Amino acid sequence: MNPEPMNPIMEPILEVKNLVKKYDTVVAVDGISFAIQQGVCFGLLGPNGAGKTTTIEVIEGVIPPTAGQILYKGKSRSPSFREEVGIQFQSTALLNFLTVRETLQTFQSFYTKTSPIEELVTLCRLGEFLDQYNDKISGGQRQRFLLALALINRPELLFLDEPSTGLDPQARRNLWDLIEGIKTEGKTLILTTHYMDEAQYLCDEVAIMDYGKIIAQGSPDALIRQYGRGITVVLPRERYALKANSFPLPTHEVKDTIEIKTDDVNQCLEQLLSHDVDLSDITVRSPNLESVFLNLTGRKLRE
Amino acid sequence: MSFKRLWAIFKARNYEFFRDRSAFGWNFLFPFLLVAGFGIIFGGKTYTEYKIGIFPSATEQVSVAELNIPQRFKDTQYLKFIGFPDAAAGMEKLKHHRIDFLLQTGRGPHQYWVSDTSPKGYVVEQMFKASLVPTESKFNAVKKEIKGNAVRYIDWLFPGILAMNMMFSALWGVGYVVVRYRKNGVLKRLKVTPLNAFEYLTAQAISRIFLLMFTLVIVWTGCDLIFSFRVQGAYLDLFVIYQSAH
Repeated sequence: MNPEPMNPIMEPILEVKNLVKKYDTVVAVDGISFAIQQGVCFGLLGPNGAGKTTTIEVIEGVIPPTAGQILYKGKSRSPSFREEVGIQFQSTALLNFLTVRETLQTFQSFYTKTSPIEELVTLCRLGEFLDQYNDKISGGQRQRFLLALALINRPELLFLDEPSTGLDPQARRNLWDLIEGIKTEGKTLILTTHYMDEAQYLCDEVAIMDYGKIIAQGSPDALIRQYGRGITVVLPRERYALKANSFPLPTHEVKDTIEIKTDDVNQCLEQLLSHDVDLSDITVRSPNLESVFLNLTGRKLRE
Repeated sequence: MSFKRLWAIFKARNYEFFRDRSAFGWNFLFPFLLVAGFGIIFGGKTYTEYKIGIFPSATEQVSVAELNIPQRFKDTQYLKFIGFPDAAAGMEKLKHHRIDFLLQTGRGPHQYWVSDTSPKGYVVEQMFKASLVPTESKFNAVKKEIKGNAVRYIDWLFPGILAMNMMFSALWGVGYVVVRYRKNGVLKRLKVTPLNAFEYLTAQAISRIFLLMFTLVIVWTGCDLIFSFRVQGAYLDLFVIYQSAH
């Protein structure tokens, strides 16, 4: 019997099945499964210690899994996997006393299929510090440089582990633009982050991890719809002249503000106006990925 | 194994050696300083000297010619005579081996003291006894000397420095670097590239052998210009030992 012809577009580039990673008695990754389609930016979110980095490092082949299966283009990872993926670690040191250009050249020699250095210099804007030692550059420059290193072998699958941690807002935006550019080339990205705005901005699909398990998965919009729990209307406390028991909607006080959770903003605002509340300083907050994240993982401090 | 990858790491490791100025200076300066320093400290005349306490003597400095002790003992080489006012002062020094032999001047029979735990004291005692024997009773003997260049301290020292250089380079240049790179994540970054552990280690070792030979040539030439060595042994053997030590 011939197998059904598969649609190449639909075949996931990466498939993880029941992945488990144990360290002695600690279960860092507890039987997770997911599949990533070609050209998708997949975000792995979770609080510190949730198992994101362990998951990504097991997939990259840095650490062996305790159990489970990892399929790249439908097959187990072969030695050529390293030729075809690009990796940016959360924190890494590089060979000492080499300039940015020399480091790129050294890494370029490791691979058979490579990007010209000039192309990466333009793409990641490395020009101004190309001849400086690789440990004498700023945080933002370093992240762009590490991204260029990850791109040196024209990877089809790119792993970015917390790429914008420690960057200032400009450098972050800059990096996001860069990653957006890479996405448009059709590359598949796997990104871990604990910045929810980053995930919302960059990812097509996210999986939220906690205690080694995936607790929610889907597109950011779908997750917000599913777990967002209403819109928040925020008023400064001094404007809110009403007594709490005279107002029909449930409220709670947060610092100098009063928050009202509602599913119908129009109705809420009408009610406020009917009670002569001054709405000059009102803030209406839609649910975002951060509220989804906090709703799912709780606000308790983990570490 | 890919020679392209091996060559890339070999080059990168060499750059590090030449660009790390503190380590670079140390690699060249240290052997020079060691040879020069030890040469100065130990390079002087190093012969065994026997210390003979003499009493009674008003001063520590004694004029050997005026001492009333056997002439042949006076004529013996490598003896240093130190004066003491009385037996007690001399005994104190003898007890702690600060002198090897204590002798009372004056006419015979001579009185002497020697520590039973001092080998040098025993040797001096034999020399002293021999000096009391009349000349006529000596057996006839013919003295023959050999001619040769004395091997200076520095000539002994230099091979030691080379061996030390070899050991340090192997330990620091390969072992320590691998540990450091493992700890700071460089090896982890390299692990996810097609470069394998064998290629990395081979490149690292070849790089250090090359640099060690380079250092050796510079240090050898420099030390030879300053101290002019004489090599007794085969250069090929040295080369083979040098390579295999790594």
